[in-house]
Amino acid sequence: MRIGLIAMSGVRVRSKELVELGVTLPGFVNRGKVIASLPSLGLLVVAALTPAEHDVTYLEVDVMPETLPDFDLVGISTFSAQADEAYVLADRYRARGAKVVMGGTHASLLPDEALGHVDAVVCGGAEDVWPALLEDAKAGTMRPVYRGANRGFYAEREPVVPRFDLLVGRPYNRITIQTSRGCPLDCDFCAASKIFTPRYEQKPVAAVERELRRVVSLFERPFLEFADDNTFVNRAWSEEFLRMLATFGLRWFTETDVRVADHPGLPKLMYDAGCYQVLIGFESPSAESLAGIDRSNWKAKRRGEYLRAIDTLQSAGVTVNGCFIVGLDADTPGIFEQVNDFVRESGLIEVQVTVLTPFPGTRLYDRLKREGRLLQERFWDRCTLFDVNFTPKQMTVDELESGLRWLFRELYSEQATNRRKRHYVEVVKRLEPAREEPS
Amino acid sequence: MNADRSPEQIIRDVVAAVTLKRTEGFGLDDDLQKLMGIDSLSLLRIVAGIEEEFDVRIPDEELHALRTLRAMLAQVEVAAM
Repeated sequence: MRIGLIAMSGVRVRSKELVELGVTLPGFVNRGKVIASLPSLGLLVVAALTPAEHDVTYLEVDVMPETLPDFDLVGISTFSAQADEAYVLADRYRARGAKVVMGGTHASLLPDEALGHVDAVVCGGAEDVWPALLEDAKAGTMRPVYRGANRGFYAEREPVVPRFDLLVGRPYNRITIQTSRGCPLDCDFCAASKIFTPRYEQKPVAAVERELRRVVSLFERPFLEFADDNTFVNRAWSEEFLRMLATFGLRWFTETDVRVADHPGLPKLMYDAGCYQVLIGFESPSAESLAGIDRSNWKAKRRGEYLRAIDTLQSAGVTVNGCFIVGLDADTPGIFEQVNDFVRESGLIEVQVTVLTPFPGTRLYDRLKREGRLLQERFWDRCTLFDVNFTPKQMTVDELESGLRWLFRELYSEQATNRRKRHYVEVVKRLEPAREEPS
Repeated sequence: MNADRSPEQIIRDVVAAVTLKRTEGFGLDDDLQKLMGIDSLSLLRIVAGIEEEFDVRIPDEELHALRTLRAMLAQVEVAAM
């Protein structure tokens, strides 16, 4: 079969005011551009699971194309914000006689909705079910729902090496590799860990090394982004991983939590292994706002360590991209100034602010629905992380929207962006002489 | 600063050291961010390297504009005056 694997890509923002503001703030669009240009690792795994008898093409769709390449079977992966566009694409392919399969977070959580547009949905990971689905498709016996693996990804299976070769010749700034699935924190608003595994699982270092060898055989000195929710949870694994990674001499970015600064020596190991930046979800500078966002109240308990952790990491040369969410239940209109003050005080070199977003399938969504606080019944195209979809508890929707815009103007102004850039240049100058020797 | 190398070569060496990629094929006016896939942090590392090599300080408001070798050379000349 000719199989097309299509990733819905790009970053969406619906609020007209925010779009207009965003294009004038380079700091705001920067990370968006990076995210928008990341390949879909999930589909590269699906490609690797596809038997060699099939012809596989990998595509990304941001703006809907007028003409579509022909395939016998199409696999589409989408987030909630692009779900409606993915359904239009699926409808077009089905109208041409192709079989259409959908996977990813949104379809996994709402398979019945997706089945209005596709022939089959893969819920969870494609491991175990994709080859069987293809056999069924060939025989004309495809089932509507295939429930893929959601645990034991690495303990019970040999991880496949994603088909990185499908990316060759395309202008990616970063190549993604996954080292773990899930996250031990289980935050109220997070859909990822809930769908893909109820447990936190880490890939054996030898398996990551195998993938790295494949990547460096295909791309000259690639910049890596580890497609993890939380990379550095286990100290022993982290040290083994970083020592292996250092042998490749590459630069990389990943996401983790604040405990990474607890381990003496780990930030230096990260720097020596080529870490440019870690993204940490601090979520809020307000301890009251953090209360209850994860099951064990871990983030609220850790609030007092935020400044020290940022300083520890950045002093070691690992820059921190601090992420904050506004619109949490304890947030008042004063939260915007609090975030702005925290960012200045902390010396964070990069910052991301998003609005609390009730993705379907999360505990947050269920709670807000129960409390009658969702603004619309169906709002997937507004699950952009920048559009408000619920009534906040301590302020109006308008206050949340205008406060977010004010915060963007403050954080991403030329002056604030330049201040953070200069801070980074000075950190590098303190650390680099021993490192940046021409090769 | 190494007297054996021209300012352009020093800058090329800094770019190569940060990006781990060769720069011989790039012209003075090529957009390094586009051609080499350099991200914003790498560009700032290049700035840090240039400031160290030439013992200058590039004005903060110019940091975003250093996307070509020519722009970097121009800033070094201005900063050294």
